[in-house]
Amino acid sequence: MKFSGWGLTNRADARLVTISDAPTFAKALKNASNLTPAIPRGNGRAYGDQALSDTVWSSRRLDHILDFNERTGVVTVEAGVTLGELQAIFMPRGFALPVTPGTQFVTVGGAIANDVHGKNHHSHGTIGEHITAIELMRTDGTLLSLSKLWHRDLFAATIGGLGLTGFIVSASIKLKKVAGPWIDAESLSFGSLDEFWSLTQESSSNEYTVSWLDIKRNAVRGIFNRGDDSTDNPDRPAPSDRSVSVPFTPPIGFINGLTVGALAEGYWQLGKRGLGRTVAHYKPFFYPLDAIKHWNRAYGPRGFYQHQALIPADAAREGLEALVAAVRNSSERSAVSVLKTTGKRKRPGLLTYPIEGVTLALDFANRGDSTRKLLKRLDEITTEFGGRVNPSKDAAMSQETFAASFGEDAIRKFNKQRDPGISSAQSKRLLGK
Amino acid sequence: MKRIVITAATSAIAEAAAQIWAAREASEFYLIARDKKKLARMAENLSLRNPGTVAHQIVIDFLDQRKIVKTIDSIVKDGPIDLALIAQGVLTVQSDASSSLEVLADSIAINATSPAMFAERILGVFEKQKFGRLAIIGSVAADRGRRELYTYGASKSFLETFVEGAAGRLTGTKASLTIWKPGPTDTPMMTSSQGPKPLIASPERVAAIGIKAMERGKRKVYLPGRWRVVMFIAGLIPNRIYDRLSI
Repeated sequence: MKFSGWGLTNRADARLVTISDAPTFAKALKNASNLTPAIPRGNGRAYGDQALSDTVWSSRRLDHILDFNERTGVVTVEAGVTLGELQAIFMPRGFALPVTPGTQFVTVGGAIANDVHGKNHHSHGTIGEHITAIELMRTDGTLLSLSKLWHRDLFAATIGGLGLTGFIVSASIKLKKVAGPWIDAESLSFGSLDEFWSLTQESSSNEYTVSWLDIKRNAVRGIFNRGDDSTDNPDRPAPSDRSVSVPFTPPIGFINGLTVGALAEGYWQLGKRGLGRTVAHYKPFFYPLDAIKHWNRAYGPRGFYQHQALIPADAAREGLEALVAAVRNSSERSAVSVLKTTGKRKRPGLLTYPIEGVTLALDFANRGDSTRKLLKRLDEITTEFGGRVNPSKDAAMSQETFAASFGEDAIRKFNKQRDPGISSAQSKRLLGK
Repeated sequence: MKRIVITAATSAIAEAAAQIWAAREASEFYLIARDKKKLARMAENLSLRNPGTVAHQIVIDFLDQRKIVKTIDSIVKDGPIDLALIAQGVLTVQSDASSSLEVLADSIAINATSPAMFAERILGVFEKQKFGRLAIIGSVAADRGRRELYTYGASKSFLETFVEGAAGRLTGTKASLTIWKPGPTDTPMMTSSQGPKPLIASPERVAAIGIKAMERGKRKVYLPGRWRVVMFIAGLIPNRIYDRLSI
């Protein structure tokens, strides 16, 4: 069966094995005489080649909610449950995920393996901070319970471990209390990076901040969104779940050199109309792109690359200018660019991505060598400023970039915790095996 | 509150069907299964996802006639059965059944004998209460024997003939009997499959179409519908060619 990442750039043949429960899986692992390299796979939302290997272990049938404690807010779920399902089930009961990335279609297993963060990194960090326990299947067939108390090192390696330490069977997440599904939101426009920085400063007390950035030939402009969980729960209907879909991959992407300018302009006009304060439902606020199913197909059969760079706080302004300049000086144009700041938090995983600073995520239609040349340039700039490239989005970074991003020491510690039976196309590229 | 009986409740299609029913309205489930741990996981999941759901867990031997009678009787004692789904089955590869008669006999027992026993008791209930909808999971493999799967296919085709006749018992009532005929489904049964993805349907999709057919009182439904066409074409291949296909 053919598999690819969300960016559709890397495709590979793999044998699919659907995991239904831990005991059956353990027995199969113990009885297997020789295992081909395998990698866990959730909902296929990692952009590049992270969930590609000879064998793919699908967690999608592991979709049970196992336990919920109303008093502590700790929910225990199997790895294949998606974050969207959790939000939908627990929001009506006054609980929400403390941290959520920009799509609700990722699984719990995938979210942990990438230690995802969201629009509230300042106040809530990564999802790993809220994971109290993980059940991990190693390829020798042993099921381990990991937490800060037991198997600490393996616990830290599994959070953000890119799926390489074992197969996450289930996990416990501490949800946060909310009044309801509403966010007090505000959108403001900015016409320069300086304005972005002053908005950032002035929004330090808001829980959520995220900006959309349009990099034009000789200027930038953008929309700055900020918000907080609404403290009351107005009795009004949630927006309908209707979504449009890109039903198949068109032979030529809709998003290409000819249209990307018009799309950005359209988005800008739309954004300008929505400026000001509103009470927004959590879905459009957290997951705006989820309204278009299979939006990745809009890039056509060659797919697209996402690049996320994080520049540490002390070099944030300069680094961001340099990244923007590199995009401007290239022949590529980013269709969607997202700008976010990250806070000073403890890092629960050995390979947890965020450090304090600013991140810029850019989407480029795959035009072959010229696109990859730009990605390489962005990698160089990022590491020159002491920053890091996000492996969840990555499909192209080099082993050197990865090492410069996370540090030789962390990688050495991480390799000690890896499961020898697990590897992915990404692990071969980034870690050599 | 609808009262719903499901056998082999922890199998992928049955579980998907339960989830659809539970999401629709608060219901009372009687979940019958063999694996206690998996059953507990499923029951907990149903009630955590759908507040108001009641899920009774019943672990029995699917071939124990007396237990089957006792179980259905005790369910009916407290009220009628609105919906029932009989889902047990084991995908026996023919080479295994050919090398072990025990495997062959077990396959027939779990694919044919056991569903028939449960169906018989539930049909009796439906005859009396004059309503209720029952579905039994068959297979597209019943339509034509396949060299690599014929014990399985034959057991499933037993169910078709069974349903054909048994449905007659329900004439003049509001009750109905449906046979679901799924093609390859993404279930643990298919775990080692390498088949092309487009031919494999998700249990959620199979269950959704099956439930719709069941509620319309249809006798037979292919899941998804394209299998009706595929099996029709397969039926037209002459034996001398068909026998040589390794399918």
